[in-house]
Amino acid sequence: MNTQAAFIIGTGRCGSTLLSKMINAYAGITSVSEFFSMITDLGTMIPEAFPEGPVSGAAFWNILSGIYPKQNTMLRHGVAMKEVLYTDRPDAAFRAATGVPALLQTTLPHLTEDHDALFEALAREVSCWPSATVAVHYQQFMQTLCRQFGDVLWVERSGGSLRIVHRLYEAFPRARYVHLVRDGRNCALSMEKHLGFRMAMLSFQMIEVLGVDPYLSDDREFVDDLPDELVDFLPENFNPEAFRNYSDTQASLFGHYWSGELIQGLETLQKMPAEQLLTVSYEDLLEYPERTFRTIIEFLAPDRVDMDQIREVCRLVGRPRSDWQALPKRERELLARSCEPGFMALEANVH
Amino acid sequence: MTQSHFITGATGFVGSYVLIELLKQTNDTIYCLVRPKEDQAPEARIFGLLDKLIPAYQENPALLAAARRRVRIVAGDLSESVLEIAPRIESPINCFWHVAASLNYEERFADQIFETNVMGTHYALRLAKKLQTQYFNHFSTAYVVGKQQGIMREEVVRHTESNNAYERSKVTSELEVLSATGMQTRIFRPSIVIGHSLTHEAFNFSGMYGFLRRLVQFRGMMERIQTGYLDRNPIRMKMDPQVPLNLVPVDQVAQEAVQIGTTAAPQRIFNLTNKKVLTVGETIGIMFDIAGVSQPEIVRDAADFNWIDEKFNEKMEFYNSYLVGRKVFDRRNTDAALQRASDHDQYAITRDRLVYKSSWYLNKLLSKRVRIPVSR
Repeated sequence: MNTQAAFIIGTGRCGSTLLSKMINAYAGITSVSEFFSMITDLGTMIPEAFPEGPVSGAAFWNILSGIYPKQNTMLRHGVAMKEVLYTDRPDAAFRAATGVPALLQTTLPHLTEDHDALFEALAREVSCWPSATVAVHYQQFMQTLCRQFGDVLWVERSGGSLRIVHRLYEAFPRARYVHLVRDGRNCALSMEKHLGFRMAMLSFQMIEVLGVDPYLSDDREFVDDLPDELVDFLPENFNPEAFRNYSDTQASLFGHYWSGELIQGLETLQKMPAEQLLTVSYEDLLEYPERTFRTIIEFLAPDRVDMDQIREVCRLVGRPRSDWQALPKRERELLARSCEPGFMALEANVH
Repeated sequence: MTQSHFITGATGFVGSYVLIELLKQTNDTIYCLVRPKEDQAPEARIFGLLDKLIPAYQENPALLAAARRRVRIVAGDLSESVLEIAPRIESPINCFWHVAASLNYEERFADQIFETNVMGTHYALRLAKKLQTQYFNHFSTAYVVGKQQGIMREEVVRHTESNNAYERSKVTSELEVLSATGMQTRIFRPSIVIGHSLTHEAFNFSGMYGFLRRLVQFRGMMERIQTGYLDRNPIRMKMDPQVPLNLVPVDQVAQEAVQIGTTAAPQRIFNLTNKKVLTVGETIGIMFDIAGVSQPEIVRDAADFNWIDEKFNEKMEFYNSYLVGRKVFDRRNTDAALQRASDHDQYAITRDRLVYKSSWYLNKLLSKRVRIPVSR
């Protein structure tokens, strides 16, 4: 039995977590959450997760089960993103202190409480797969996961996945893509507060100053160039209090980031056939949840539209916490200006 | 008559060239105080460095043999008791060259800067006295003048508003040197030291190189935020584009210092600065070009900055203090002591030379950095 593939894509903090939860609550769909976020260590190791050429099953499993430094540093210091679901239960197979594999941070606990057992079963199976391209492995893995739950459709959703949409489209050329769009000003405000995006932004800066990723290399030749405010975030100095309180960014920085991600991501989306792409507004999902969610289900699984279920699932919809209009005038203007290129790209590409 | 010299900081950028100049300009014995390193003996540090630098600077290869004959290594540290160091040196010493310094400037290094530059000078003076030194030659910076503008005379700086911990440390250490008794003291004040005038070779990459490096880092950060951002949005900088920016090649600094320091010049403070330099606008323009960043937009007021401009200018704060305000360095003492005009065409900073020096460094930097693609 072949399973159907779909992705929810968007910029960071576009509201896709809510949509992922709604899909998870909808019968017959396997909701694969934060899979690519975690195996790319918060988007900082994307090329490593997509190696070129054939890869053995064991090497592919190493990508999925890697204990990656940034997410685990955050976990160990008690500043993990709220999307991380693995808990340090007494009977847990892994400990925050020694590291939790990428697949267990969110993806498997999002699907089942018995995630450690599922992880073990997958390890046994995936490691034995013959060599294939990473795209084939990813397809096979998602199908395996989907069948595990007796479903015929899986939907992957990772925060900020527009950044890798070109890779997803290359690996899954027949999948369906739901592009969730949210007002960039609120996305930026929310990214500014989000610990995962904070870590990614700090990493960008440290990588450029040091010439290496300090979480992957102990080369510190250029460490004296590091500005005072970044020293606390080197893995050897990691200070969770400073991380939690870090405030040397502004929403407008994330506004620029949002614009950049949209401009680049839309280049790939433009190439997709209309029947494979659905663009949905997060604001519509909040305002008209039933109508919007029904549109999404019709697009993903037209033979599974069930209005009773849709109404039940839409109870999960709450109110957003970010409101750019509450910002002081100057910040509001800067934020609006930083999001302008993104809005223009949307206007030009989304009809 | 053969004399003797003592150098601190001989493994550093300026200090190593002072050592080479002493080998060239004198036949004297030269003691070098060198800290042992875990992986390298002091002898290997000095002679290994000279083996590399003398060909790189296209100096006479015979200097290598001269160095092995005339250089005496003293393993140790200035903070050690003089009773530990002094017995290993034949006194009296004619010239003590105190070149060792910390070039850091960030506040997080303030204690270390003070320890190296202020206490280090204090220990050096103590040792120099014990060694019955005749001339104590101290290396400072032309930028001890801090935020002053106008003509920077070769005079004592007592009260000035410094830009950072580094400048403060140099003001304090100069005052201690000038108040020392029992030996003649001199202060050498180089401006922003860059690579060799002809070969462009350098091995300390603060100053101009640091600016270029930070520009490259900033470009990379912005590429990770939004591809092409800096092409569409030129950075705004506050600077005075028409004022001169004084860059001086390391060989000029060492040549002039050793020539002055080994004579009985009566003056005490010397600006080792360049007479032929480019303006701030020209220099910054070259740096941006080389780094592949669109030319900055010059503004008079920081109120015109957006948030990214503010962040950029914060990262460049150390360098920005050199880009605002006219400073013209008077060299009357230096020229009088040299008793001839230096060959300033050889040392002149021209557009072509600066482009070459900057490109030389950028290539070196990029060859060392692992290319980490923007993660997509």
